[in-house]
Amino acid sequence: MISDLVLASPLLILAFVGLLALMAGVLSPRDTSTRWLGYVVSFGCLIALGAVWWLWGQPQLTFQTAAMSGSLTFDHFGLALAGIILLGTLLTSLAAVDYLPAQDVDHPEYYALVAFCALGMVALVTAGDLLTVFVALEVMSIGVYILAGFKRDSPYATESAMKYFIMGSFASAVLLLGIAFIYGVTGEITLVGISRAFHFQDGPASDPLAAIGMVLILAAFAFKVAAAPFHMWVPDVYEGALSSVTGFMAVAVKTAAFGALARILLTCFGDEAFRTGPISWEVFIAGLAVASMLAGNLMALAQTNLKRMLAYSAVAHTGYLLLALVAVPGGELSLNALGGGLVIYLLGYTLANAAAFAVAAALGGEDVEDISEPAYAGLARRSPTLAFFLAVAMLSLLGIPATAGFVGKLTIFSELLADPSWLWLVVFAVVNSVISAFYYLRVILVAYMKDESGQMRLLTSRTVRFSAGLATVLTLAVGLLPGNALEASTDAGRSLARTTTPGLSGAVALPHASAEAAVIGAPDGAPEVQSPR
Amino acid sequence: MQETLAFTVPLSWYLILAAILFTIGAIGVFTRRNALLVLMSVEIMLNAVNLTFLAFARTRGDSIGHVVTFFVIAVAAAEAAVGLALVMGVFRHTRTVNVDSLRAMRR
Repeated sequence: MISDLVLASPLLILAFVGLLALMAGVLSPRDTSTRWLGYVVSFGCLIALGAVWWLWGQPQLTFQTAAMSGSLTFDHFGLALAGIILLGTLLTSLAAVDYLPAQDVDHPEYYALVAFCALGMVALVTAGDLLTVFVALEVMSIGVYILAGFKRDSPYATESAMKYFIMGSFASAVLLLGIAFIYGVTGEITLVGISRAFHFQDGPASDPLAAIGMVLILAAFAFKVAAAPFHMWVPDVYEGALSSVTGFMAVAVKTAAFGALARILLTCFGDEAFRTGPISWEVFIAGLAVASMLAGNLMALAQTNLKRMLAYSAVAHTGYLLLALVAVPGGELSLNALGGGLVIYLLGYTLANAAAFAVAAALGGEDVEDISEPAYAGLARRSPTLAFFLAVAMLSLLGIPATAGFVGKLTIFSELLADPSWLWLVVFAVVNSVISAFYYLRVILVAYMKDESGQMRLLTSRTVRFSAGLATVLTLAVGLLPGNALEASTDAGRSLARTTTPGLSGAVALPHASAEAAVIGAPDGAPEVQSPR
Repeated sequence: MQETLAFTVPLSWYLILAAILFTIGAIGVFTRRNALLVLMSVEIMLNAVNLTFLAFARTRGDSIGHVVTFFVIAVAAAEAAVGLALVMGVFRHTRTVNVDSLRAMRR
């Protein structure tokens, strides 16, 4: 019982911090600054991060209580993504400490909502059954709807929240219908149970309702990860929300949604019947990836507003990330081992976007939504450090060597190349990366070369600088010395195989020894990636 | 239990009804211009899903579907609360609850 509480400590810490922030909001007198809560939430994230770090080293990660062992799976995959989410939450909360008072929205509820959203996200990436997936997704989404409209005085923010809410609740209903069909076909709600039913029973996998359910779940998650053609809400929501909220959405929401998508796809629908059958998710995901890369990159070219450009770039990055799911080696169910590409790409993406949106927050001044060229022209003269942080973030998003973004792209592409028939997809992705150079480099060019002394006021804030600086340092550290990060992300991806091997293991999380045996069957799971020098 | 009934409603009837309700809700979300009616359409979709869950739970004779339905009802209530608050927020700015008025950022 006690060991279960220890195992669930990342969730409990976040819940406690959220409640603390809420109580502090009630008890502190009106019109007093509550920016100290930003430090409290950041500290809570740090402690939760420490708990995740400690759990990572533990050999046994199973719950004793039967009810919990079914609904939460603390494997290395979930822990790694939880770590990335907590890191993103930490960085964006720090960036908000001085930004919110400057925007005149210094309310304690902000930090409570951030903590509860992070709670939902961590539960989402460690969910072991579809009910937990749904509830965690809603805990996350409802919080983010409110955060998107947090600046109530701004018509842009309320519009952004309303759009996000309508589309988001529609997607939730679609997801729920998919879950209902899968439950109806298999009679199971746990991911492992569903996977077993599809693998070992003849009826469920061939039932048309199962295929419909899978497509509905995929469509709902395509919306949540902002894949084209389900990306219509992204630019408006990213532009209208506060910069610190947009940063939070870009890094943490995407990581959480991708974690759940990968887990559901490879556990429930890991069977060949779904992967390459008549209604194949491989084709579906590859199509989404191509559409997202193309739509995101082409639309980003036309944007002048930094936040809108980053919104379309987020769509494009969804395309690259989806490739990691296509790259999972096929064949027997036991070989459904995810490579490390997804995890390390999400890490690089999180760090770069956290830095970019922290700089956007500093540039924002009074006006939330318009961060166009005049706002950052000649930034290098006004603030060389912020300009440097922005430049490194753009280079990492572009995938220039020596940044974390490069390591992620390289890992995903080389995983995909393990199967030569996907060569065209890799070529397409590389061409798209080249297209993206135009709009990423233009930002750097304007920030460094344009000789306008900007009229816009910069937000001078230590925490924004610290947040962007920390993200930049980590981006460069992962880019220059990717050894440990690559090892950990490969371990994380492989640990998902333990949940996708009903025939071999059956248990949700096994000790390392038997998990190795399960993965050894994979002849060329993911090729060893040479660390770039 | 079921044998004692003279006539049992088959599973497919429930599913067809749920599908019709879900479609009505989905069409409502995309065609209705009043934000309150959009919210109601989403509620219809969620209730169609509840009906699906309960129909499956009844046929299978287990309790998972019932448990899920309770969670869905609770989440739907939370969603409605946030949705209505957002409608109020929009109304404060535009003096209307028409979703077509949400075009400040379309350029």
